[in-house]
Amino acid sequence: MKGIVFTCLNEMVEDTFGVAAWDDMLGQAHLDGVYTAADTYADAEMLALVGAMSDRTGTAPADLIREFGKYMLPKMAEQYPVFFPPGMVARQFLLSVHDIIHVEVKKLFPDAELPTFQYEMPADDQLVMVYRSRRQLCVLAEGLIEGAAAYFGEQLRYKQSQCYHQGDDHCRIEICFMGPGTRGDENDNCQ
Amino acid sequence: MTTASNIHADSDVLTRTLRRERAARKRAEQLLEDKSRELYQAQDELRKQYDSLAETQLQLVQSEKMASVGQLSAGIAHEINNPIGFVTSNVSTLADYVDVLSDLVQRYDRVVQAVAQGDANASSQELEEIARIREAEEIDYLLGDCRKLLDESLDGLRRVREIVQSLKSFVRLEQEADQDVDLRDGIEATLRVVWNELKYKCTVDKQLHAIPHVRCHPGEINQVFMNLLVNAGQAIDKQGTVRITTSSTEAHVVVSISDDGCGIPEENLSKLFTPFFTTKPVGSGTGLGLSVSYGIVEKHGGTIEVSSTVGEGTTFIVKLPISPTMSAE
Repeated sequence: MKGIVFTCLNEMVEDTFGVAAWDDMLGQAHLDGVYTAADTYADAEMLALVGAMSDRTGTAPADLIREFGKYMLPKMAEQYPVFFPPGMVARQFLLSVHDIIHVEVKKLFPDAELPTFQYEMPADDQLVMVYRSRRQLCVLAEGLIEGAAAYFGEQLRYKQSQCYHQGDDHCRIEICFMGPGTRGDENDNCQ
Repeated sequence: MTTASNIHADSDVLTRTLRRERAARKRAEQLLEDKSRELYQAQDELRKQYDSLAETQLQLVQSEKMASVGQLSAGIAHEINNPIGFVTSNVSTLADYVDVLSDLVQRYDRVVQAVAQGDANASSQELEEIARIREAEEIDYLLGDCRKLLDESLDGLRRVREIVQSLKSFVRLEQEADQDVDLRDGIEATLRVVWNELKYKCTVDKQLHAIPHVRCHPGEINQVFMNLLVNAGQAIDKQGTVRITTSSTEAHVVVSISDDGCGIPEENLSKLFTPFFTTKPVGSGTGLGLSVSYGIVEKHGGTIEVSSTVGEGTTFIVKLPISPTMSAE
């Protein structure tokens, strides 16, 4: 897994719980914690860190990873503004992940192992993202989707109709965009 | 309440954090260094490949030219053989004439001798013989013919010399510097080289208006003209016209070479400048002529355009920038 995910997790933990918490988590997970954005680290290190964080907070690892996704999105926007041009909306951003962002990531980090997304667009306000990854981290994708909604100031709903963790061979995330300022229970065609 | 042990623990955390940050920074610097080195090596490799490609391209241009000249060689040989043939025949006739004239000169010498010795009989006999020979050998015609044969031979030799010079302008290696040239000279030289390809079925209509000089490599630009002229000739099946026009705009010299031959189907027009694209039978074309021509014109900062209608003919327009010394004037 790319180091940028680790440095971002480091920031989140330090911002939320303080420097000592991250230090504790590293000690508990027996990791040296020397992370550099451009380097690559074992997936097991991330799992150990999330495990330690779960033990510490009493929150389920899946929920922590989803929160991490939400935290990571604006950080990405700050670091890579080119992927967030003015006037973009969440749907456009999510559509650009596979064919634009991941292509650029591959240029910077040819060794990066990235998930794949296939898209379906059943309606103008709907988007289906079919997620495939050996890591089966669909909850991180969920967090990033929620983060995108928050970043672009939009309301959206999503559900997974298929999921690795339900025995399927991919995850199917069905998203319904409800525009800015509308409430989730109004104009909800996302059934 | 802050205790000494708390402060100590905080200090330990900060020390470890600092160490991690420092180690991470060193690792990042190492990665940056590695990337920079990789980038340098990749750039170096790219530069070598570029140089090798440029060298290959140069060789390709040269090979294409030699292949074209090779294909034209039978025609060129014919163009040289023809004048050589009649010059040889003329020289042989002149040799016979020299024998007759030399005999006459000897007889005149003998007349002079006889007159000097006062031998009127001998001189009169010799003069009668001279008159008979002059009559028999048609000396007046012979003298007139000598001049004609000499003029014709000189013309033939001049033609051979021009063909050889034209050929030299094609085959010399492309290492010399660019020159300011009048493209009309290049067109004339090229026509001499390709003449045998055109003369049997084409009327060549030259409208070579005065044009400013162009800074170019004459051998390369002639190669472009050669390709276009040979193509024009090959497009004409039985009888037709190849029209060569020169003109100029504010910044460019424009050479147009058109034929009223078979024309090029629309689907082939876009592939015309693609390497190895040819519609000619195997052995008749390298498929490189137009792509090499395109490269040459582009290298000289010019453009080459084609328009064609099937059944009506094709026009190639080459535009080359006017020499900076000319445009400054």
